[in-house]
Order: sequence, then C-alpha cells, then structure tokens
Amino acid sequence: MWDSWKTTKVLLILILVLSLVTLRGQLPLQVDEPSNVVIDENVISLQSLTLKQKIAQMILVYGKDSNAELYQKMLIGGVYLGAKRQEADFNDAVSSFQEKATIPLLVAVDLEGCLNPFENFAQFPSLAEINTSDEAYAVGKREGELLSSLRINVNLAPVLDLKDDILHCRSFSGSTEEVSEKGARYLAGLQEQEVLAVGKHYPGKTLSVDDSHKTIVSATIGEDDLVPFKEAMTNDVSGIMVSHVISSGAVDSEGRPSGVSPAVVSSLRQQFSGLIFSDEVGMLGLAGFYKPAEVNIMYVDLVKAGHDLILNFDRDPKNIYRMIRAVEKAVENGEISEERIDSSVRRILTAKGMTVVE
Amino acid sequence: MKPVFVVNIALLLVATVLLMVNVSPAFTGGSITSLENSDATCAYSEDGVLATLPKEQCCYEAVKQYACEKDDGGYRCYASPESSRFLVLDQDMMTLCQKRGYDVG
Repeated sequence: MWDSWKTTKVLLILILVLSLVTLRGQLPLQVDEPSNVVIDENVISLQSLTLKQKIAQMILVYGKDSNAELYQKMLIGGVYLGAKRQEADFNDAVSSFQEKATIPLLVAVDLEGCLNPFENFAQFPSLAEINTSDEAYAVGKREGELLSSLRINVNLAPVLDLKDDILHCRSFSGSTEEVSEKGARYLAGLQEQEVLAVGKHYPGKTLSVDDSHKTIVSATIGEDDLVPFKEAMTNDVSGIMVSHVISSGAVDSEGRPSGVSPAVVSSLRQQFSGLIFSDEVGMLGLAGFYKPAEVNIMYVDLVKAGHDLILNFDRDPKNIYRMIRAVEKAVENGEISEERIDSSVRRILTAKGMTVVE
Repeated sequence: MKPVFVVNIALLLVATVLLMVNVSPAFTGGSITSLENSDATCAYSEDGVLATLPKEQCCYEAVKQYACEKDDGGYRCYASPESSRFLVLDQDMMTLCQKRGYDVG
C-alpha cells in the first residue's frame, strides 16, 4: 500500500537526479588542447582535424576576450569584434584570440558605412555619401588600411542592397548600375589591403521593411536586386552573406528564410566559388522561424543549406558547443555528409592563406 | 497536518523548481515568443532624428556597439559616447536581446 514515506523516498530520488542534471549543466565546458592538428609551415592536413574541430572552423562567434582560450581550443573559425574605445583595445582583442591559436582565426567587423565601430578614433563616410566609384575605391582602400593595421582580416561589407529604407546610410546611392560599380570598386580597394570583403545581404531587399514589428521578413526579389551581387562576384569578392529574408520572384526561397533555403544557397554556390556566410543566427528573421526547442534543427538546416561560415553571436560558449554537437550528430547519422563539411573547411582554410592537404 | 505530509509538499516544490530550471529552454521559450510578439521597440537616432529599427535587426545592431547605458527608461547603445548616431532600445527589447543570448546591456 502506498504511503507517505514511499512518496518521500520517490521525491528524494527525483531531487537527487534533477540536482545531478542541474550541476552537470553548470560545470564549465572542458575542451582538450588541439594537439592532434598537423600543420607544417602553413600546410595543414585536413584529416588531422576531428569532425568537431572541422565544424568549429565553420563558425564565426562574438569575440568576448574571456572566451578566447576556450574558442582557441575548440578551433573556432573566426571571431567578430564590436566597437571599442581605442586602437589599442582592438590590438589587445586580436592578440588575445590569435597569439596562441593553432589555426589563425578570421577576425571580422561590420564597417559597413553607417554605425562605425572605430568611431572613437577613425571616421569614414557612410556608403550613401559616396558619390563616385573612384571615391568608393578610395574609401575601401582607406578602410582596408585601417583594418589591416589592426590585423582585422574580414569586413562584413559592402552592403549591396539597392536601397536602405531603414537607416538610409548603409547602401550606395544611385541607379542599379551605379550601386554595382561602387560596390565593385569599394571591394577592390578593401581587398587590395588584404582584407576579405563580404557582399551582403543576398539576395537583397533586406533593408526595405514594410512593417518594423514583424520579425519574419518577406520580399519579392527583382533581377535588378541581383545585379550588384553578380558584379561583386565578377570582381572577385571573397564572400557573400545570405540574409534571412523569405524571398520570392527572381530568387525563390520556397517559403523559408533564405539562409536555410537549399534552393537559394545552392543556386548561389553554382555561381560563386568564394565563401558563403550566413547572417547571424540569433536574428529574429531566422530564429523566429523555428520554435525555441528546434534550435538544433536550425543549426543543421544552415549547414545543409550550404553555408561555409555561420555567424553565431551567442555569448555562452556552451551554446556554441551545442551547435557543434548538433551538426556532428547530423553527420554521424548521415543527414549531412562529412564531405560537405570538408568542402567548406577547405575553402575557409584556403581563405586563411593555408595550403590544405588531405 | 502530519509532518511527513509537510515534508513531501516541500520536496515536491524543490523538485518542481529543479525540473523547471532544466526544461528552461522550453519554459523561457514561451516568454521569448511573447517578447518577440510584443511592442518592444528599437530606434536609430542620427543628429536627433529617430528612425524605427526593425526588431529583426535590432539585437545584432546593438551587440556591435561599444556600450549600452540606461537612459530615460530604456537604453542608449553607441559606438562612441560623443557620437550623433546611436540606438535606442526599450526595456522589452533589451530583455529580448539578452534572452536571445546577445552580450548586451
């Protein structure tokens, strides 16, 4: 016969189990040193990386200094730096991530010509203020010189949307042809300073919002919207970032945010051999498309869509590690092929100036 | 009331709290969804002129900034304190960004 003491025992066992589970979740993340990686004079053996390490190379995280050591051990592919007070702060941040890194990291910023992360010590015109393509080249070159001096090797710019209806400063002004030409000349100036340019936000119309309260954004893409991206690709842009817009028209994402639409990303891949970046995964246009409990599905969908680099600015390295585990499981159960991972990692390592051998 | 009954009630409460902590992604998911659907606001200010910034882009723009300071019931997020360009987030928007995992505020 059930009595109160039996209930007490059951509850105590339940509390013990739940306490252990809770404590396990609070333990700091433990990652081994990546001593398995074989690198000799900038030649890296791809297969010396574990699957987790290869997946980590595909992630660009928010660069919080306190996470530097952990991200180095995980072999995270890149970090993003926000605004800082002075040049020395950028130098310190880059050093904290690069000095003991087994594989050099991509170090990215958004110097996209509106809100300026270097505003405390360097000023640049907004893209909207650039009048000619020669000026675009000069601005790209000047920005590239600053970034290069700070050992920042990726600028998530230029914006190639035809219009910025929100801030009115992030897009080049003018006709489609003028925007395309300015974009191409800007990236030329930037990349001559050995900074990778990333044209965004493919397929366009990301900065034209009809309802600012909506979190999921849809847009009809015209052929004109694609012209600046095609011009950038013709002019050897290093990367293209795909937005979270649900697109129709000239680019059809089939009812999904473009970033998780294999139709969009694979079609881009057919035209472009450089790095394909996702836009940041916490943005509501993507995150809001999934239920909160489906976040692992979202991570797998991003990789399945075909991105090389995925921006995830979650401040908790444990959540980054969960992302890696989610994709690893998808590879282990055959949902994603390991060759799919390898092809992106080869592109990433090559972009980092390494020679990749199998 | 028998003491063992009181003890069991207390243990049940402890177990419930531990359970909720561990299923928090599902538990807070509802609160995140309600914030996403709320009137949380975000704006971009340039030279004193405010433009609404869509919720979809707000947290990403906020995390790029140098700092976010409390200001008049909300937050002012800027690359430079002297800048004429900055973001203005209300409390709901800041809470949403933090629950979404961004390093802001």
